[in-house]
Amino acid sequence: MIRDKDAHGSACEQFEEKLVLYYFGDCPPAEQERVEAHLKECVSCGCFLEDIRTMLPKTADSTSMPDAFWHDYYAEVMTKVAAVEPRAYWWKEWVSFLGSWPVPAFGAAVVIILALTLAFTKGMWRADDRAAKEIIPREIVADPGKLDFFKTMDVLESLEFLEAVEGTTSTRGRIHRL
Amino acid sequence: MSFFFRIGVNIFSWLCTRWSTKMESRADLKDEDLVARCREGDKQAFGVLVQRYMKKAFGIAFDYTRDREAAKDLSQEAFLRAYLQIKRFDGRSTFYTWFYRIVVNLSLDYLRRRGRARWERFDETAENPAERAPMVDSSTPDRVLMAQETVLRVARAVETLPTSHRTAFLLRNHQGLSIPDIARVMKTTDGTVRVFLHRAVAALRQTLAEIA
Repeated sequence: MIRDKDAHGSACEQFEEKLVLYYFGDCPPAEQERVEAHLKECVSCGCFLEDIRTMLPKTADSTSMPDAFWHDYYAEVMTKVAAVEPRAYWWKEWVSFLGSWPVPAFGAAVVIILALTLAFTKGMWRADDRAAKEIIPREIVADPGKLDFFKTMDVLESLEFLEAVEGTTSTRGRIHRL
Repeated sequence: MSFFFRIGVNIFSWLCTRWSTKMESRADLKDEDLVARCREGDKQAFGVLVQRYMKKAFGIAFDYTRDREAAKDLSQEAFLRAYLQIKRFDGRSTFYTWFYRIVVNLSLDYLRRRGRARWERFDETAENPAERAPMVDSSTPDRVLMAQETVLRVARAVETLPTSHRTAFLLRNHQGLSIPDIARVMKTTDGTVRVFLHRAVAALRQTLAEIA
């Protein structure tokens, strides 16, 4: 049975999409056979296919350009690529190296080393010896004889104390004697 | 002395041979291998990709813009972006579908930016259609004019299609991409691309039938 429709009318609804795919060669083999069988008996679908065969190549303009154009095109692209290439900064390399995990790891290692060092060397590191030494004024140090004077100060204080004790005793003794 | 000189010459010739072999072999490499080399900073490998796809990229951009200068700028911009983003290319799709997607997106952005101005320029160049219709039958002046008019109308009919329909149509009809590849470029399914293609062709046929 041959169905006839108007020249620019629609193709059969169930075949229109298949005809488009058939034109582009995207129909699976089984579908292709069905479409070809249908085309033998349907004029409107035949017209549809004929129309797109005539029309679609016209939509594709030729954009063939001379070789010189492509040569310049390629050179321009490569120049642009060279211009945008990021320069290698040494500090960026370091930043990338010290990115994410190495920085905290390095910090933790330093803290652990410090803690262990302090823990195992406790008492080995003495504070400034001079601080422990007796502070002697310079003028005194220059004259060692005066040092003895100060050393005898304790004795003098002791003597005074003795005298005081003795004085009390002697006063008592004198009173006692009186 | 001559012994050392001979060794030096041999080393030099070996290096030259190795370098020239490397250069020649790049052209034979697959896209994936070239991409891997680009990631290592091999600019020559990227040059091979440029040579391989520059005509296609220009063609796609021209299909959208109908302007050679714009098509050139857009396609070159696409190469530049591809070069800068090549480390982000995950290899799940092929290089050319990934790259075509960049070209299509740039072209669509360009059209959005141009908006109304695009149509104005299209009408201006209609005064000199030879720029836009290089492939016309030039047997008689009348035929030339008719052919040029047809080409312009067809081009305008394509431009009136919805973006998705037009993209599917241009990539299939003009660039010859397969439906699965178009689906990857458009990030959609094969079935959807088939529907877009069908609708685009049906709309074009309708429009051109009215013109005829």
